[in-house]
Amino acid sequence: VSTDHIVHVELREGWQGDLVQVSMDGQIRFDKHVTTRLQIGLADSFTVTVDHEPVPVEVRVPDRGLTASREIRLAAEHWIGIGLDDQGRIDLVDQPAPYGYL
Amino acid sequence: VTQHFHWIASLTLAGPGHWTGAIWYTDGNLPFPYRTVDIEVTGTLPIARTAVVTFSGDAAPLVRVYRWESTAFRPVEFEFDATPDANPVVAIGTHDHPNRPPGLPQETLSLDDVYRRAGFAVTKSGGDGAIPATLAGANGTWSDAEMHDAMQRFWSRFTDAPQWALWVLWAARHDQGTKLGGVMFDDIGPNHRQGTAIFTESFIKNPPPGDAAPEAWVRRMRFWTAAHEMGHAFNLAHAWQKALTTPTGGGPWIPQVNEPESRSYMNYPYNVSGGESAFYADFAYHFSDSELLFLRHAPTRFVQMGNAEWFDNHAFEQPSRSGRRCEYRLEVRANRAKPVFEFLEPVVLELKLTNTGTDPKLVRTGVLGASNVLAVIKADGKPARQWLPYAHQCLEPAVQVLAPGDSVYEPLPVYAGVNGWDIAEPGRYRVHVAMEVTGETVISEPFELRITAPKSREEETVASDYFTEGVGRALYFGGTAVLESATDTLQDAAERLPGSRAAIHAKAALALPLVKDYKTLSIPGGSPKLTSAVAADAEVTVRPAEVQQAVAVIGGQLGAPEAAETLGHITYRRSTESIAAALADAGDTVDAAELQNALLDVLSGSGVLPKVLEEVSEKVTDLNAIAAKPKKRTTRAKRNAGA
Repeated sequence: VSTDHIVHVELREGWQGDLVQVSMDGQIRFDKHVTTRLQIGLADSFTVTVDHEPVPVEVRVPDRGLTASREIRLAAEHWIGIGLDDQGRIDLVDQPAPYGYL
Repeated sequence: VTQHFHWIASLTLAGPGHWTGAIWYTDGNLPFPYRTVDIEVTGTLPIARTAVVTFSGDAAPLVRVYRWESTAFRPVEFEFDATPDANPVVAIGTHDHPNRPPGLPQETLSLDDVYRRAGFAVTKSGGDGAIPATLAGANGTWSDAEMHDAMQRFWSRFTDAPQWALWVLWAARHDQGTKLGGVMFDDIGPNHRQGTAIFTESFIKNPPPGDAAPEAWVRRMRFWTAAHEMGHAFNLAHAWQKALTTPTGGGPWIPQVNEPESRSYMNYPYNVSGGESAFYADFAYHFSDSELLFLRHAPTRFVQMGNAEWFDNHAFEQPSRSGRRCEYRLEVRANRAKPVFEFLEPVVLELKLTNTGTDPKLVRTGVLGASNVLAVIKADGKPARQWLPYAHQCLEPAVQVLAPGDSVYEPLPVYAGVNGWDIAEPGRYRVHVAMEVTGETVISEPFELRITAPKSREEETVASDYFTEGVGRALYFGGTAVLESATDTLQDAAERLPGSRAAIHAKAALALPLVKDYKTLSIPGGSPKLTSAVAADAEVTVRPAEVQQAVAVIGGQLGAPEAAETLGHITYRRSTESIAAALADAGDTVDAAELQNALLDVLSGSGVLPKVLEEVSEKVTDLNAIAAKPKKRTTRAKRNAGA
């Protein structure tokens, strides 16, 4: 489907100075070291606009040798959360509503 | 037992007013020699109650009698300020929303009640009020720095010190937008967790579509968020972070497990199985048991606002755990066999940064200077403190090549700074250092050191004048011609504590200002309010160098290995060569060569790099060569002779 989608990507729990690379459609959209601010559970975020959906999303954490990828169906405005879980695995989730932080 | 110990025991009822149990947690500077307690409480009225506590274990039983003091574990004082565009909710009716636990008592519950029930004697400062929304700046939303500024300006109790007091700001929105419902923003500066904020116009004002009582839902969510953010100020972590440890080996105060399904103020309602509806159906407005244990029984410094850093009795928040192989190694060390320092001895450590990679690297010149490193000092039984040096240098940008395996070194005078004397009292300390080198964060292993107890009453007497800002600055800056009180104290220490390490530092600080011409800015007394030094008829006066007097003060000690150990090899070399150069400049090349030679002797036995010994040796050769030539008076020698 060809229409603009606003995508908010939020780097959430588990990051401790890790280099995180996020790609959409094979194009790197985020490439930074991030650390979770523990009192809100959020490290960093960015917003992009894409003109079609679904969109392939790939997350790489090269220093940990981790990769996760998924094709995500997008609402007109969509939120993607990326974290590291207790087992050190990439947690890639999405929803058509904002995430809240406290 | 003369030390203060913090202990926790698990008790079982052994009879009326009688409990016994094992001590499972202790906190103090020395090993606690008891393993069980037996507690007998007598008296009916609280004010007449006493508890006889018998400690047993590896030492002879110890009996202590405690009198009733309070129904609360700890005091705390709150102050609530709000912007005009915020909608604070400091109390709710527990039955206002129909989605609640079936047996939940119906009552009006305030934030004060929440913390009173958690074990605190809650008071209000009396300073609740409004603050201007304009403080949020042109964008109308709040940054952490703006909130910290507002806290300092509007909180009636603000101080840079630990205290059982908390400032709560109710505002509309944070710079991060509607996704941030609140934040304990105060992880800034040396005293964390004094302020917390709730953003009432964020997502927390949006009830779920179709909610049965949307207005009550919003009030409850704002109230819940306030209790949550205030919990962070008591150093409570999120429910799913309880077991989180940091790479430096820190972690929760006792082993913990995560509580992702807990119905606590510290969990996110919408993150549990079944979402926020399932959360509130089973939420009885309290903290989890592990959180209550922490709030009521953990050592004060872990809980009290402004004390231990946020999320931390960890002492040091690790900025990086990338897993990538770091190509630098940062070491903290002391120039002595054992990391033991005498009482009153200023602790000067040494930093060593090594290129552990296989390629040469370009690093900033002065990369290990005090302005470029972050040092954190953790004394046993006390909160961690960041070392804040007295001065920062602005250097012209320059780089140097660090070949593979090569190192650079700098002294780290951590004894004192603008925080005061961070390392002074007898006891154990850990020092961590972190820095950024060419974009990489490098962190040292913790360095442990010990300060011994005073050896004499004389040392204790000197200490009262010694651990002052003036003496700290005089030692740090290599002496002073202005701070007379500090100079007097150093003179006193040098005379009364001969043979001590403190005397070596004192003599160095007394001698070094004498080796060169010393400029002083003199401002006439009684000048009107100063607008500029010129307007006040200030004058720069120059006191000529008195090199021989400097040698008389310190010279005899510069040939002793103890001087190299306590000043640190780098400072020792710089100080000695400074005096030798001054002597040579004054025409006394024989004494200069002798001093330089003494430096070479001491460093030769100290394990310093061959390259350093070569440099020192070359100067000895040069000075000897000059001394052997027929005398030719230098400008200074002529001036000293009155020419």
